[in-house]
Amino acid sequence: MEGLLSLAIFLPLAGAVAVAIIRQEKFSKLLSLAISVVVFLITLYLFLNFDWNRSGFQFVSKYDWVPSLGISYHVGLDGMAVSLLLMTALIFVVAFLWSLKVEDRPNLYFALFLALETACLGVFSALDFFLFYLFWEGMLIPMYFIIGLWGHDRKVYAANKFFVYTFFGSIFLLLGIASLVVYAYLMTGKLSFDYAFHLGFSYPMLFQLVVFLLFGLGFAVKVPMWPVHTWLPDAHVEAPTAGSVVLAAVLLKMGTFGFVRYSLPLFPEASKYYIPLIFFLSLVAIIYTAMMAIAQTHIKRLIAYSSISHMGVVTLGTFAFDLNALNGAIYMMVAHGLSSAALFMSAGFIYDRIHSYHMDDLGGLARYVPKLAVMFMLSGLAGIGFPGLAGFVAEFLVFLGTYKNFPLWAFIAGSGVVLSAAYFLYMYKRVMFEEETLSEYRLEKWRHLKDLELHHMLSFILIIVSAFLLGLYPYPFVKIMEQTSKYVLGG
Amino acid sequence: MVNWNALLPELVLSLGALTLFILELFSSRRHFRLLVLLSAFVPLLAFLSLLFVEYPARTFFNTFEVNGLSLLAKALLYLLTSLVLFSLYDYYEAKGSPYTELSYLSLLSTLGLSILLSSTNLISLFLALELSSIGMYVLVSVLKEDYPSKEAGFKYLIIGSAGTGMFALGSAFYYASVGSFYLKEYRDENTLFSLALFLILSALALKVSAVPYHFWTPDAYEGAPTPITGYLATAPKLALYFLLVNLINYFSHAKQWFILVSVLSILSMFYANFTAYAQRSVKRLLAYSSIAHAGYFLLGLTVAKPELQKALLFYVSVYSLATLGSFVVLSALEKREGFTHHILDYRGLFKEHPVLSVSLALFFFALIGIPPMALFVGKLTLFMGLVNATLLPLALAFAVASLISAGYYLRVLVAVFLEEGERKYTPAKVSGGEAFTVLLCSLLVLLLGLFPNLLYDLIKF
Repeated sequence: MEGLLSLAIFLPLAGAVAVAIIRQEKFSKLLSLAISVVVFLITLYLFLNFDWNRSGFQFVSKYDWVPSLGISYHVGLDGMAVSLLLMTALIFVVAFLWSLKVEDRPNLYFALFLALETACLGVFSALDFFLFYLFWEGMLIPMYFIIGLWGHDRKVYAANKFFVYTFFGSIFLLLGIASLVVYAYLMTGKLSFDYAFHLGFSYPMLFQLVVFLLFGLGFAVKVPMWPVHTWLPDAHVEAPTAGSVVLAAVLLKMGTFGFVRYSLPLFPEASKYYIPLIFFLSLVAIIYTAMMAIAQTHIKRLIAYSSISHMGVVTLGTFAFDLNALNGAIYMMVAHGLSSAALFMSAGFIYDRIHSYHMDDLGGLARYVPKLAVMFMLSGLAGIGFPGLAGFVAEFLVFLGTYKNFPLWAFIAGSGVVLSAAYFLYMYKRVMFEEETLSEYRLEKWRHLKDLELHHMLSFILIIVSAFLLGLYPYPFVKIMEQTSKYVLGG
Repeated sequence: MVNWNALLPELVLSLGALTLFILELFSSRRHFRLLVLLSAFVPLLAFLSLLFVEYPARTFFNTFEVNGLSLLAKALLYLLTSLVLFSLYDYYEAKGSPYTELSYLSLLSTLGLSILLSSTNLISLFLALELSSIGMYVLVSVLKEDYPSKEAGFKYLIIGSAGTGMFALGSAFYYASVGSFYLKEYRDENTLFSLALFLILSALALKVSAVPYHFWTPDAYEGAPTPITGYLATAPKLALYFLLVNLINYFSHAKQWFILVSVLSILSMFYANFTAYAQRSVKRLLAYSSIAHAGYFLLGLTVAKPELQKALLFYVSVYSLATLGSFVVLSALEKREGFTHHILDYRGLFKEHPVLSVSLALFFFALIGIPPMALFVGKLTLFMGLVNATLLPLALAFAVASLISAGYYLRVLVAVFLEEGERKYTPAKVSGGEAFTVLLCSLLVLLLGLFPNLLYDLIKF
């Protein structure tokens, strides 16, 4: 039981090494899929055994690692982490299922994805700053090569932009971690990177204000918040489908996870001080990027902007200092992970079949690939917060909570969310309907299109079923997330 | 009485160098590989002899001091020298210039650096510095029918001599103000002492190639035979930072120290990181990377705080491993016919040499400071040390500079991994020595990143 979490984290890394050494295409694919399923089952087991009435971290294991620097191997889960862990494991199962037909350098591809999975699971489980940063940066190299090697036309540009932006954020995060650790050392005489040690420590206001910004910069780039969001559309447009899926569903959550896990409990006063700033940035993200999304004709770029807009809702809820809003923000992380993954899969499928992401080249697809049309609709509805699907519960909680303390902000943000319906339906219309404007040549091509295959269908079903589950029976999930919200808000 | 035990490693080195000198007299070029490999074992013997040295000890009228820190520095220095000597034979053979003199010249340079690490007196420091430099001037120039290496050696000699002059003059001023050549606690500040500080610091800054004393670095690094560049970029740097950490106790109380060191450091970081973007040659780019790193390392010398110096020494040690590794990869590649280190020559390298490319990527990501490579721990501990010394602005400058640096390393990696090569080369044969060195460097860089305490706990003051 105790080692189960560590097993889940490092199993993919071991798999990556095995794949890199053996280099047999079939073996790589099956092993990756098998490992991701096993990891998913382990996280499911952890999720089901999570006791939401108990505060604090569960499934903890802790070993000394670098005693002279106060670094320990310390992993454990709270409600938010266990939910995100489960979502991550699910997304990787889907990503591997989706990639079963990859032909270009498959061994390297699967090895990098497996390494990425370890980094992603590690970020959510680490309870030691050093370990956390190790995983946080650990995802940089695999993702860089996934975009750079399997991307589309401007992959090098996108990969470099992704790397430089992320590194920009994380170098300040590292400086923030160093300041925090040293400050606590000067105050108590104990050098420790342990999260729990710092949690029980209250820092003076000025220090909080500075270090909050250092941490915040690191997280904001990852979220991404306006105005450091510009790497995301490029990275998404150029990344291969499974890369986009992981990027949108998991990597973006690291930023908001960081805000909830680190910024709020460690710098409560500074967090309150910066509320106007964060709210302003969130509103800009919600409204401005939603409008940007409406203006796009490239479907992947549109979905990327919609992601930024949705992450704005998460940051809004995170800093509303209300239990419901924070629950909603965490719920949104999971819900958006599911819906954005499904949307990118739809876009990726369209590209696989038609070799274009541009709405001008598309249209009238609903008649020829009906299964995709259904899945695309469901994933879009999950994204825009249609009742009965995951996004609705999340948005409802966020706005309910925010409205209590900040009615004006909540009102503006809520009206901004309407735009999400606009851009999604607009995209759906251009891609799936509008048959009249199609040329004969295209119609002829469309007639031979192959609809979703079994592994595509399975991937979609896994995600859509989860989205329905979260939408129709939110009680246990909210309860589990509330375990985190309660200690974060200090109640 | 001379305490011979304290001199054991230096004795081993000098005896080894002498033996090789005599062997070299009676051997022809055919025995090049044998001689070089023999010479590679000498630092290893010296390394082993360190185990028998009793410390702390002083000898030669207290000009020569052995303590835990200097022994650690020597251990690392011998390790680096040995790795360089193990890896270089194939390069020289492929270039058709098997100069057997290499074997003892590099040992003599290392001997100089080794004495440098134990000197407590400006005169012995001066002699040690010269012994190491003169060896390196020659090492840089010996490559048959290769004009750039002569030019590099000449430039290095001229500018190096200027450094020597500054050091000598600085020592004279030091004597004038302190009344002794021994390094000692001297609290009285006067103009002569400030001058001495300025000149000695400048001379050492020249040796570690900090801006504005960096002018020799790009040319010497680019022109020198690549394995020697690897030596030049690691062994003397390592020794000089250990020396500077030693000197900080005697000089840092002067109010000019902090200003001088931080100006040198900031200039180096930013100048080099921006200029590196203009480079087309990867070898030259690594020279600028080395200047930038000199800037980072000097941050660790701004104020005398054990945490800060500890971080610096850890950082510089693992940096040496990563840099040596990169230069060995470069020298293995250079054996291909027509290969010039121009960035275009690196395109599509991954397809032809996956293992070399992956190791190069590992070293470059390490130089950027990505975990789990050991340089990341160096960066983190240096951050912590700077924050501890309440120098947050300098830490921010460091963060910004290392962010700027990411771009030019990435450009090389883009060429290696993401672009297609147009020219076809004969595949490079990687010699056993090169493979061994690259493997050991990459393993150590990874291992010390995951378990930094293996080295970090050894650095004690």
